[in-house]
Amino acid sequence: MLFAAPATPMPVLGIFYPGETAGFFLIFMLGLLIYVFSRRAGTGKRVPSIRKIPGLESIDEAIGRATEMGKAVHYSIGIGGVTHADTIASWPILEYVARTCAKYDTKLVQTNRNYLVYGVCDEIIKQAYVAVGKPESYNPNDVRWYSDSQWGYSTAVLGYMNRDKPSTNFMFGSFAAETLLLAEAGAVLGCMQIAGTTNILQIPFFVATCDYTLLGEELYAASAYISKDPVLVGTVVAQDIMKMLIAAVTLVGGIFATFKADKWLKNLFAK
Amino acid sequence: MNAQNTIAAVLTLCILTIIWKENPAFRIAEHLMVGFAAAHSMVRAIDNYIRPTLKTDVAHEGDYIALAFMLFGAVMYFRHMPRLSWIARYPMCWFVGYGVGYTLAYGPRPFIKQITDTFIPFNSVNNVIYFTVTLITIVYFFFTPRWRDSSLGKQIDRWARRVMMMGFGATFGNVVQGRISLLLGRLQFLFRDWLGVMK
Repeated sequence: MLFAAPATPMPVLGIFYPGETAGFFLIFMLGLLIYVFSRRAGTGKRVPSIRKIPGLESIDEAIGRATEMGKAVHYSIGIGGVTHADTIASWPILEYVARTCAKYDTKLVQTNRNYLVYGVCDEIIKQAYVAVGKPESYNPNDVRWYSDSQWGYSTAVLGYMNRDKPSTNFMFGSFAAETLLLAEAGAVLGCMQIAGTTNILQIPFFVATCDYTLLGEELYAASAYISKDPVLVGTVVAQDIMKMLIAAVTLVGGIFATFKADKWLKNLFAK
Repeated sequence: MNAQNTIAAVLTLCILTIIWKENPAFRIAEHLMVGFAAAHSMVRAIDNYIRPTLKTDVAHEGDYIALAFMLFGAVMYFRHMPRLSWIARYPMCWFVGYGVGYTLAYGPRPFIKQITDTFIPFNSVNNVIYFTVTLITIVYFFFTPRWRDSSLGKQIDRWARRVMMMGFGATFGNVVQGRISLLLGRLQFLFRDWLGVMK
């Protein structure tokens, strides 16, 4: 019996597995807040603006630089799959970059490691070219799947960058150990580089090598910031309220912990 | 010095030539790497997913839903047929929807752990610094409140950036140390395992 596997815990009310219930309610609350603030924005009520994010302000400048130099823009979405939040957050930025590149007839080369992400990116870029009325400018060979292997992908991007020497390098998404390899290549080639990820182990490398870096959650606010769509900004307001609640809970938790009375609060979150 | 080690060492040196500049030796190694990686992932997909699903799940256990999902996945190849490429969007939508759902369902767990780990007593300087840094970093990521433009908001931003940069600096040093040990491993391979000039 010593080596017996632990029994699967019984779900609460037949739905909530222990350890997931608090998460469900947090997501439910967030969903509710997002719904309320999106509707508020949708009905024309005033929505606060998002604070300045310099990295996103500079996307146009970076594409403009590539246009003036007659060189390509490289966009890497990283190595994450479709289940990674960073990959999902990167798509609206890719759409914006693709639209701007299409508008100014600037070559956009987008590289992928994950084949499912590649399919989605290809569709996004194709649609962006159609949306600005230049479907004929879309070149499927510029949306590339290199390799399923992390280092195969990195080596291929390194080779591409050294051969084609793009003038701008965007890296938004989920990045791991290949970060420095890609960002350093861009820095050596003199690319204007803007990057963003939530992986705190990789952000330092972006900070060291890129002109602008989106720190962590700034990546998630990007789609609302770029589009300035009040409904999307409403979702950021909802997220802010959630973060304020969490900050308040940590403060309350700290006070309770000081008086050794935080057990019940910890148990509440562990449910 | 055996043949396998020689091939590995030559390819290592070919890759390292990128430090000098892009050249045919690097290109050969790059294309070999990409080609082998593609072949490896294809064999892995056949051996680990496609064959077991067809042989075990479908043929032996009669799980035809697995077969239906395999065919649904194969629909993605329609994207290479210009007139029927719209069909490929359905499995793609499914995968993206699944991705969002997965993130929502399993995303909160690590964050909840982080929240409860911040419930620390304010009874030491370390704990107070830990809590204050956590709080001002959370405040840095508030994007919309109007008070962010006030002088207090700007002060909080400045301090949040400073403490984050300190954290990033520590991480940077730690990861670079790890990279140096990887480089040492590679040098050991070249000088000890391949050339045999090092004990």
